[in-house]
Amino acid sequence: MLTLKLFRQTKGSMFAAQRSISFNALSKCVNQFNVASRLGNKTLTKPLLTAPMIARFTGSTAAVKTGKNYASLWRTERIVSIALMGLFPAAVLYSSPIIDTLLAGSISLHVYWGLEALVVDYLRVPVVGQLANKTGHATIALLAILTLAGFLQVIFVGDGLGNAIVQLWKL
Amino acid sequence: MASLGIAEMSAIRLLKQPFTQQIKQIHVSSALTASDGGAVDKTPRIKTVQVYRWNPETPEVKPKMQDYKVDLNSCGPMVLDVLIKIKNSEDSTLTFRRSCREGICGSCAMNIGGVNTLACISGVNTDLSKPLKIYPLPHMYVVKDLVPDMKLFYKQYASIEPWLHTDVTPANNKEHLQHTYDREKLDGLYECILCACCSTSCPSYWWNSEKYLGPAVLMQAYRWIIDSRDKATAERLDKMRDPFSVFRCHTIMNCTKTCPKGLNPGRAIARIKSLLSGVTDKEEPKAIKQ
Repeated sequence: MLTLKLFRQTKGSMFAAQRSISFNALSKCVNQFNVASRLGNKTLTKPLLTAPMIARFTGSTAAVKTGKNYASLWRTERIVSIALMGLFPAAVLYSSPIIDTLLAGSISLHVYWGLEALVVDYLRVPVVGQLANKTGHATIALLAILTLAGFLQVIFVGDGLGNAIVQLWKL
Repeated sequence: MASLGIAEMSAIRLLKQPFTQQIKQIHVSSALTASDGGAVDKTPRIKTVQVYRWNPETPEVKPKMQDYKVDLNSCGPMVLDVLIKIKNSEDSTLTFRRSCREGICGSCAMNIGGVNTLACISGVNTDLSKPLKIYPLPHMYVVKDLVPDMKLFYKQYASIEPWLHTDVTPANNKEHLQHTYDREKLDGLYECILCACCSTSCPSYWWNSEKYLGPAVLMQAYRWIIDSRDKATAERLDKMRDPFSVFRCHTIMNCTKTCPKGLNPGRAIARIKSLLSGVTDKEEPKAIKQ
């Protein structure tokens, strides 16, 4: 009866599956502890360090780990954000194609990463479906490329991004 | 003596006593006058309390807000007192978690007046014109009424392996010693009671709770990462390099704002990020002089 109730309050079989997994993990954990305590006090801590960290909780960790290392990308994002603070005044004060191109690239990247976060958070596959998620990603990529192309046009065909900012200010 | 009034009599009695006794007398008398003032005003102070109700045994009935009227004069000052009073005297089917009633167990975490906090340490707003609204923790599966399903939260907590990982045998064969300098780094981290107020206030956790660990769990992860006695720092960090576990944090800082214990999970996550990206490194443990 209890399991029936538990089943009813969950929405669909996915969460029921998650439950049974967590119960399995619990028993696994207890087994682990029993094995570990049989080894004696001295070695109790050793298998913790040597055993693969996730292995003992496989199935219990909800997160599906991808091998991707996001840390370096995160650092690049920070560097670009900080560089933008300097690039804006630099582009206005010393307008040159090099600084303008740097600024254009940084803005496009910054905008792309910002919008990508929006797509990841708000166009999630379980909510809006695979197609909408993919479309979202494609759209922001296109948008970023368009932005960059527009900036490059202003820089190399028009009279520079820094000057454009000044002109905009004069309006 | 008979010609003296009551005030003079008590003044003389007071002067005859030793100092500590005098102080006690004054305290008692002031407390008495205070309670006298309260007793005069006996008009009931009726507060409307709106509580989220949902019963898993009648899943076809949609969740609803139920109104209760509580007289604040005959009730304790905290939201938990109000809930207990409702459960005792009005509606025994009202379901909520509570245990310590002093903000150390984290059981009674709920959304009170739009803020995730502990019912036991948040006072009832005495403005009777406004209703007291109580919901379960946001964006969690509800087990019943104010009881959320914490299974995923605990699972995530287990996934960071919140215990000491070391292959060092302690020098005295009993305990791993730590310099006070290293111990101080754990202040503001170990006090967390895992009430999940912060995690459930985080939009990133709302949208990606299956993959993002959430502020509470991440702060505990950081607590073990920077522990000078822990030797699995690299493994712990390597588990979090993916785009979701840590980096879904957008520094919204709802976690820090809502924490009923006044802790700062946002800062802990920022420090994990800087450790992950190699901006900072974990300090070597300081030597202990015995």
